[in-house]
Amino acid sequence: MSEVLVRADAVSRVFREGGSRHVAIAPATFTVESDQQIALEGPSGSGKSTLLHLLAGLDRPSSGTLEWPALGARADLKPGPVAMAFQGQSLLPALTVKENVALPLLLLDTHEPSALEAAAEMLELLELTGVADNLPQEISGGQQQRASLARALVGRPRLVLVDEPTGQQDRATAGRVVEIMLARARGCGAAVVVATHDPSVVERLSHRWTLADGRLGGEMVVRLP
Amino acid sequence: MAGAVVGVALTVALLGSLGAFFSASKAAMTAQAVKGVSVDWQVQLSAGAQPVRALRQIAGAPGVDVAAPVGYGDATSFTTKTGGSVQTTGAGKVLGLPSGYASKFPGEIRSLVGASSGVLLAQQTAANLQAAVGSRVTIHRPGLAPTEVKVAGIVDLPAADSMFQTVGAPPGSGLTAPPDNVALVPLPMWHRLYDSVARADAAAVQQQVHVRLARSLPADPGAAFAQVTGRALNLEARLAGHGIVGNNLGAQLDAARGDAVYAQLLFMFLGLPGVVLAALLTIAVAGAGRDRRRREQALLRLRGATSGRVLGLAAAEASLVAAAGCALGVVGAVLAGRLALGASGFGATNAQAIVWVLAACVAGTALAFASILLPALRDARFFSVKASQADIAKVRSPLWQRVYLDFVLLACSGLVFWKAVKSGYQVVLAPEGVPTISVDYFTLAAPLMLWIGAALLAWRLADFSLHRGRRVVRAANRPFAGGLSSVVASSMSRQRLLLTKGLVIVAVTASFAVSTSVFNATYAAQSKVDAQLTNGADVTATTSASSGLAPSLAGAVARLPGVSADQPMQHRFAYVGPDLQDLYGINPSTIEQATPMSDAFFGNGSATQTLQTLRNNPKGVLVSDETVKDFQLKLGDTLRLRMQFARDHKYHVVPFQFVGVVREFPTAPHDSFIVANASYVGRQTGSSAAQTLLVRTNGSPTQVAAGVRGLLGRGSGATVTDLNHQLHLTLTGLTTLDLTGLTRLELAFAVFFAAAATGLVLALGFRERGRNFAVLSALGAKRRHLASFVWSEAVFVTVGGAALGALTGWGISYVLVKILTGVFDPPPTHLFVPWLYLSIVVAAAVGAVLAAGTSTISATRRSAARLLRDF
Repeated sequence: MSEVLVRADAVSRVFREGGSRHVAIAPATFTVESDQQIALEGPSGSGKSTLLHLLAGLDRPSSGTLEWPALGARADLKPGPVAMAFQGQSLLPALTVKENVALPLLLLDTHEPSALEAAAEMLELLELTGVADNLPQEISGGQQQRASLARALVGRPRLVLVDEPTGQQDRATAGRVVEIMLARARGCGAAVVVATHDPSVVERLSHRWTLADGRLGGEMVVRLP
Repeated sequence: MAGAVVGVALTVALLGSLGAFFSASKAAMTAQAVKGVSVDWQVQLSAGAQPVRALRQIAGAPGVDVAAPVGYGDATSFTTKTGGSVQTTGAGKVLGLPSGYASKFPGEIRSLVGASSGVLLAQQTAANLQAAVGSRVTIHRPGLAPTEVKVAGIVDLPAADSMFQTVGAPPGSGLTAPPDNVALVPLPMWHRLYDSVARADAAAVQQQVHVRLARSLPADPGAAFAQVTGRALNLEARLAGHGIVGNNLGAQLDAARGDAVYAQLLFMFLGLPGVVLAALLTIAVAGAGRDRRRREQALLRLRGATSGRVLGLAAAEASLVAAAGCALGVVGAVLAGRLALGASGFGATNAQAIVWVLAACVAGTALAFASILLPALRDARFFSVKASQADIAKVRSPLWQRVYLDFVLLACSGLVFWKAVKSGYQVVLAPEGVPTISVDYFTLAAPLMLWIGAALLAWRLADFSLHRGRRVVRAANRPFAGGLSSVVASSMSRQRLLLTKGLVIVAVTASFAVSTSVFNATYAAQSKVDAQLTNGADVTATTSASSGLAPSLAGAVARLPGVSADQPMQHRFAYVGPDLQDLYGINPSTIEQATPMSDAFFGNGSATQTLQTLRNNPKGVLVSDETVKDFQLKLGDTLRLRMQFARDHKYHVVPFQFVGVVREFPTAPHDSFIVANASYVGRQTGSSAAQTLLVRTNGSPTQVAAGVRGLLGRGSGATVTDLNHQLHLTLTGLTTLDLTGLTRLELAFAVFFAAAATGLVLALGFRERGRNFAVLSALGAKRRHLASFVWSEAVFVTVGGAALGALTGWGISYVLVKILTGVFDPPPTHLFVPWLYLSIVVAAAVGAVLAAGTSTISATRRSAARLLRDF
């Protein structure tokens, strides 16, 4: 049974700096449902990351209404129902890879050994066991991306938001990473929204949204086998 | 960059204002020394000298402003007839003074009653003879018939000690007691009286030329002393054996130059650590942006910028910081000088001002380049682009840690201190009359090594506890971090370089605040003790007349408003062997009612025990350590002193019993003196008259002093002083330094440093890691989660640093007080802790930490989305 996780009504996001005004997201109305796996496509600077931040509750819309009917109030989204893997270096440099991955669980007051155990399982799934005790600066960019994804998935969220998960992965690894992500999301009954340029990622997802100059284009539903 | 500008400005301001303070202090010492002298030189002419020619030579010598001939003639006694009785004194002196002497040498003679010219009697002589204006006094000259003169006035001779000095006495031979009986007559009359005496008995007559020098002396007491001494020697050479210079001004400057050296030492120990601290803070503040700068420079290099281009940009930044910091600092120094020191210049002279401004600006510029350009240079030479982008630097034990330099320095410091204290040395040796001053710089290494060693030890302990003591840190964090304590401890451990630096800066700041404030508080407390000791009590009335103060005075003073108690005290003179010493006759049972008796006053027991012993032994006497040593005295020994008896004004032997050692006593001089039972002294000498009245007040000492003056009336010849006046004299006096301005300056800077070292350094560190806090916030960290990271670090840095710093500061102030004991008179029995001030410092630090922590948490939660847009 599908649930509406996010409901956006004429949501826009405008940035003002100095005297200039930049429309990152033009007014858009959409929903994200629990069985959706959405690929968010668009050129650089088209507003993909901004839309993900709005969906994650990290940012507030400039106009319109944004609600998370099945997830709760904005303040309760994280840690818990919503998780996000960021595009850039977002691992805390003073924590090991395993501690970084366990962090969302620790923020949920999970007992530390259990959190570390869950983190270790996620790292094993994403083939990062060998670097679990390394500091982020000691591993490659691709490994950092996978660790960031592991951190997003470890808490069994209902909505997974991922920004460019395969930018620094080789093709084979990228495929495995996306499969693991989708399998995990399905296992949790979670929706997935992935901002990506990678066609091999897009073709694995059920829905495709496009963004151009802040305008959210028509939704394309892909029937997956 | 703004932080670095402020740091450079602070350094320049502190250095400039300290320079102003110390150069002004030295100039004040010289001015004070000069002010206290009326007759700068007393040139004693030899028997074969031609007085007129010598006077011409002296008057023409370089720097001589006024030269006046003065005759000194012996009198075997003075007598007067009052009613039916004849009063006879002991031996005395008759001085012949040229007209206008009193105005040429102001302060040498103080007119009390009658005319200020003609035949004048010294106050004590007038009292001994019961003479008044108009009385006829007979002068008995050696070998000639007596001659009678008519008294025109009664005077006080405030500078009698120097006026009747033995000119040419070897240094350290001690003071000669001035004669008890003195008459001043016009010079022509003196020649009529004594020229014939000189022919019969040359030893009974001396001629001197009193000199006042032009007061264009160097500001530095040492340089002024060298100049005055050099000119005196030059004059003696010109006189070719016909005259010896009694250098009164040189003697005063001699004492002042010792104080000037102490001023320099205080500058080194109280001032320079502040400058070093300001520099450390600047480096820390500049270093807080270093990782960001390093990443930016790595990016520039990645995009093709050469190392030279990158360094050029860093040099431009350093130049800008230096220029802005120096400009702000100079303005700050002027303001600090006005507010704290009451002086707006940078020194007593223009040359000093230029030197201090330049020195402060050079130091500020060097600091700007050291904190910005040097790190960039090192990064460019030794860091790869990859390493520059790393967030967590690899921590390797520095060389000093591997060779245990901290322990070595602390051990050496302890050793030097122990050796110095054990040998009872003086850090500054300024032998009387010798131009060179010896400073034991080796001993000064003790506090320096302690400061550096303790800072390094704080580094080692912080590093060790974060590295090896993660469990302890985790347990300590638990109140703030709860379930995140383990992660927080891990994070702190891996950022231990940053946190250790912060802790050491807080420790150094705390040690500076504690050591300077404790030293200054101890100094201020001892100044009060000194003032009370010098003044004798809250209010003190003294007379030099052997007849003493009126017996009814004590009762009358006791009834004055604001008086809680008063006690008479005898002040006599007694010969111990050939030494003439001051003797104080007291009532041991009641003396404490009027003035405090400290245990530090006595050498072989507490004040209570010693006074009890004196009370139980009517013939008991307390003498100085020096007397005990010189005369090989043992407790219980009989001591035969010679004292002047009332019946014939001659000295007779009085037996006493040595019962204890006295080191300090109200109104007593710094050298040897004696304390005895007043009742015994009165019985033996035939006079129980007290020369001093000590008054304890429960109101304003100044008002009580005015009341006592009113009771004494004009012309009594007695002087009344109060504690407030004496404290002012002590603090601005010749033999002490006025640390009030310095204290204000240092304490204000220390509060600022405390806030900067805690709040600013933490805030900049947090800001540098703003991205990390934004990630935490984006992951769903609530306020309490962010707080767990922020407060764990803040508590570790500030509480750890403050605790280690306070301990070090106390140790440094203890060592400083011990090795700079020469600036204390008397030495303190314990350190004084200014709790109120330290509470203000702690409050400033706590406030700054709270502000840094809460603003970081709030800013992170507000700006997480904006920061994350960059990801």
